[in-house]
Order: sequence, then C-alpha cells, then structure tokens
Amino acid sequence: MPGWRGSGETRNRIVPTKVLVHGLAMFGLMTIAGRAAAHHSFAAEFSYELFGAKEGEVVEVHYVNPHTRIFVAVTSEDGEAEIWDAQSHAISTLLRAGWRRDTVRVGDNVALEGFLGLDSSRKIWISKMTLEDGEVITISAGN
Amino acid sequence: MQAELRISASIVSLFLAGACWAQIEGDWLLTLNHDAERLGIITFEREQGELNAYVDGGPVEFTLAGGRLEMEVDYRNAGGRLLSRQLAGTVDGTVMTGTLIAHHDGSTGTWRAEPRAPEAALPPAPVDFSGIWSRISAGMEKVHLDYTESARLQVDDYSYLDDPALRCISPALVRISGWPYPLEILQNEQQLTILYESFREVRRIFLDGRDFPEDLPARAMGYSLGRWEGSTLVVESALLKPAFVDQAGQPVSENARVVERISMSEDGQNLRGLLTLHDPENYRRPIIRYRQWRKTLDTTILEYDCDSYPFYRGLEFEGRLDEFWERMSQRR
Repeated sequence: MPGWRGSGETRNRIVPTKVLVHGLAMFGLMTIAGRAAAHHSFAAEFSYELFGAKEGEVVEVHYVNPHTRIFVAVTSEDGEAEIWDAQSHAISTLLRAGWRRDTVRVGDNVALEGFLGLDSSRKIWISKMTLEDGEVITISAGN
Repeated sequence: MQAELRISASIVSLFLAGACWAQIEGDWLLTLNHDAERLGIITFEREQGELNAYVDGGPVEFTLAGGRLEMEVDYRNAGGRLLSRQLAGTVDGTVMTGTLIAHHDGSTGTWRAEPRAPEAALPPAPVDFSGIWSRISAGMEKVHLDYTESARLQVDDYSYLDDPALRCISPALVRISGWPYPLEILQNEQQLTILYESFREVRRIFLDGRDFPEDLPARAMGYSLGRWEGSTLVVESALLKPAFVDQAGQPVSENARVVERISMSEDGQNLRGLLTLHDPENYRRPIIRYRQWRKTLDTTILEYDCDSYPFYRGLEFEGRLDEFWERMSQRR
C-alpha cells in the first residue's frame, strides 16, 4: 500500500527485555480500578506476558465504544506490509488519559507499546503511544 | 480390642465433624479487602454426607480442620484473566477471619465472614437513591459456577467472538448492571429509573404494585418490579433475553429471574446491590453478584458512542470473519 511511512529499522521492533519490567509496572497500574477498567476480551485476545513495540502509519481511526481501535500499517522485518489492530479502552477512559477524538488521525505516524495479541495475531493493546509531535499518551492497562 | 477403639475413634471424630459442620452450615456474608472491598456470600452445605462450599453460587475447594479454614476462590480480573485467591483463616462459630493471597502477583489482603441473617419482614420505609453513582466494587467475580450439563457445554464452547458487546448489542441486565461506568437514578413513588452510561441502557423499575405482563417480548434489561422491605429496595426482573453472566460466556436463559436487594449507607454516599440470578436451566443453585457504588455527583454521564464496524474490520484483517459467521448459532 503506497504512502505508508515508517522509521527504518526501529519499525516492528519487539523488545523482549522490556517484557518483565513493563509487565510488573502494568500490574501496579491494574489496581487503579473504576472507570479505567476494561470489561471484556483482553485475556481472550492478548498476552499478559508478551510486551512489544510497533511503529507505523495510522490507516484507520475508530474512536468508539466498546473499544477504541486504530489500524496501523507496519513494515515487518521481512519488508512485508502488515496491518496491526491496535486497541484500547472505551472513550470515557481515554478522555481521562488525554486521548481525544482528534489526538490520532489517519496518516499520522505513531509508535506504540503494549501487550501483543495471542497466537501471533497482529494485535497490540496500547499502553503507551508516542505521537508525531513527541507527545506521549500513557494508558493504564486495567486488565 | 484395637478394632473397637478405632471404631470408637471414628464415631467420635464423625460426631466432632458433625458438630463442627452444624456450626458452619448456611450462608455467610463475606467481606474481602484486596484491591478493593469486595462482598460475597459463602455457603456451606451438607450433601450426601459431605460438606461442600460455594462462593456466590460457584463451587470452591476448601479444607476445614481444627477451626482452620482454607479456601481457593477463582475470579476474573477486569480484562477477563482467570485468577485465584487463597483465603486462609479461623472459624469460631460466629465469625471467620483471615488473610488472603492472590497467586498471580503475590498481593495480599484480609477477609472476614459473618453468618448471614435471614431477611426480616419489615414495613416499607422508602429512601431516596437519586443521584449519579460510580461503581467501586464488582464483588467476588466468581467464574466457575454450578453448571447444569447443557450450560457447561455452552461455556466450554464459548469464544470471545460470541460477545454481543463487541457488536454493540447490550450485554443485558446481569452483566451491564455491574459494569465500571456510572449510572444515574431518578426516583418517584411509582417508579425508580436507572440510566446507565453503558450502552445507553434504561431500566424502569415499577413500584406501583403491578404484576409482570404476559404479552411483552423479552428485552435485554428485562421487566422489573420493585418493592420496599424496610429501606431495602427489592427488585424482581423477568422477561429477559438470553444473555451471558459475564465475559466468560456463562449463559442466562430466557426463563431466568433476577432478584436485586439494593440498600444505601446511612450517610447516603454508598449503595450496595446484592444480585441473585435464578436460572435452573443453567445453574444448580442461584448465582450471586454483589456490587457497590459511591455517589459521585460531579461525574458526567457520557454519550455511549458504540460502533461495531471496527470489530468486523479487525476480524477481516485477522482473517477470522468466516469463523465469526460460522459461530452465529451462538449469537445472543
């Protein structure tokens, strides 16, 4: 697909050494309950152990309930174009994290960190998102 | 001679066990402090010469010896992960107290249980529940329940693809009434109305003494009748559409009935809702969900802008759309 941007070799970088550190950090954040809580399907779709990073161009933005999703075009290590399904919480939780309707737009380049999909599925549950202008959105996992 | 002694010892130990069991049989109100205060019901029941234990209607493994109780209670966290807490403590007949440990992260807490008093017949003494309330506790969130055979097959076959919420279909009364988003209560003498942020659901709880209608179609939130027992609002709901108890896919049949006992703290700042699901098609005993809310008048109820498109789009990218269509017989 034309027009996808990336940032060379840092793209599609999975960072296994971060798994443990981030995993523990997220468990700490999980105690923040209430509105920050997810309420379905995380455990059915995502790994609690595999934490990774993906970077690419946003091709679709769905700022909706029950879960917000952005689809991101990522170039794999083999140079293949892949669409990654990046998910997060319901809108009310994202508002509190500073992610508004126009925070991410189609065509933006984003760097994502989060829990990866089970069974090598191309999914990531966003816990940290770095925008083009360097702004960082951090979202408690609540999962 | 030795044989006689052994038999005598067995009789004595049986007698002691019987006395111990008699002390512990029945319902206990459980209060657990872990990541939040959580309420639940422990039931000890003698069945065919054995003592069994249940938490919120689901069976639990336990050991009881010399006034020492240990119990393993499964639950799901908000993301649906199956976890377990070990409760250990002492029983003295009128109170159980102890500590708990969550196996997955080693976090600890405390718990306490007291015999659950039978509901006294009290004259109506309505109180005003009006206001915006935010959930502060979902209760024990017990996962494994006392299934009938057909329910067990359904649970075993469940996939998250069957979750109606992902298609923006209301997750229905049992599940949505415990979701982590705020709700608003409007109240007059004839009706208590609950406006849920989640899925924009509305419940009209009729307080005017009417009966259930016979010719209305089932609906996600059912049809609800309320009455005051003292200052506790008792709500009975029927005419429910088939649904799930939670994200693990435990079924709720169209013949289910739900009873909620809702009460407010004396300072008016907290609500407790003890929900009991009676659904013998699926469960051999009633299922409990015991939730708590706090009054949060500064909270804004947001629009629940739900769109199923990204769910289908995600399945298309993942190559699982056909699998989804093939599962449509599981649809709720």
